[in-house]
Amino acid sequence: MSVTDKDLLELETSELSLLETLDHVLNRGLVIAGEITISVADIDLIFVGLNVLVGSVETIEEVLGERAESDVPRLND
Amino acid sequence: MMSPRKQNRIADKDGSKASRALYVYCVGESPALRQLFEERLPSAIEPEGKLELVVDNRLAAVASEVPLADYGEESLKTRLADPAWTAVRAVRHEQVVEYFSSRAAVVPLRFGAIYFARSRVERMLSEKAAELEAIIERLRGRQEWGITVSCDQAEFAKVIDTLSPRLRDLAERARTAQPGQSYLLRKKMEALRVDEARLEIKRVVAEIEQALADQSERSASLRVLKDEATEHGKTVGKMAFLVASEGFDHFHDEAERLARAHADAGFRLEMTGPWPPYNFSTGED
Repeated sequence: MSVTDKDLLELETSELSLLETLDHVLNRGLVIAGEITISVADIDLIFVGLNVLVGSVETIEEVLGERAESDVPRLND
Repeated sequence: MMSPRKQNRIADKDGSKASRALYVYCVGESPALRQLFEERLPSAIEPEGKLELVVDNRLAAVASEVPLADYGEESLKTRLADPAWTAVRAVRHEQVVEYFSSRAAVVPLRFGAIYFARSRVERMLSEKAAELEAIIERLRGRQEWGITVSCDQAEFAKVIDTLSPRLRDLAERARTAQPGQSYLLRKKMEALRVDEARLEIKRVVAEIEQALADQSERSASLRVLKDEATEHGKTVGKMAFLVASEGFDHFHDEAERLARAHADAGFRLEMTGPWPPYNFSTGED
């Protein structure tokens, strides 16, 4: 069975994985210290918890379900 | 549903008494963001607090009101301990930032920049104006792409003896040596194999990173969490690249080439994006 080139490089454009999203949003980005702050140590702990969460299929679907709902743009008048 | 917005209007002067705070997603140039606010916007991190623009001169922050009952210092800690709550908010944060970053040059903030009052956001914008403007310039017309390298250990084990120069050399000597000597050489190979495999994986990851860095404007290697696994084996490298829109084809071709070149040794490349440039919005280099 031969593998096509497309199979070798997986390109995800539309549906970025939940874990990747969480990783980006929680761990990276410019840290502008707001007036309520979350420490780096807290972020690490949160991320460990989320890592466990995404291992559970049901919860992923639950979260992604919410995501799909909120994908529908709302009119912000 | 009635919106409680009016009664709970954020207090500008005495923030501590307000029941709502302002959650900030990203910062960009006022004219560009103003224009985007004329379009349909994604929902805010808390759907009842609509997205709004906090403007200070040339810069503006995309923000929305959040209840202090959830986002106050202590309550937020409790909330964040609930992975399902946090996951939903993180995804909403991302959707807002993605909406703006795919349409304008913005500085994406990470989750959790919360202010007690609009005036404090304005102050932040004016105090950090020079830094923010420099970052916006650096990011304009560019996007972040992520590459995750995974390695199928079983497949890799099959080729390590030929990949590693040391193991290759020992194998060659073992093949031609006397039985006793050959036995010792093979024992030595076994002892070396784990370390050599680690080195060889590191070398391949570094090679991939360098090759893609050459096709992009900036690169960053990211932390791999312990025991992070994909369906294609263990994650051995994660990196992010800032790529100009017009350079994307070259970058993509190079990633394809690398994926092909290392496939036989059990490596897989996964490319994700375009992301808001989270990894390139900090520091100056």
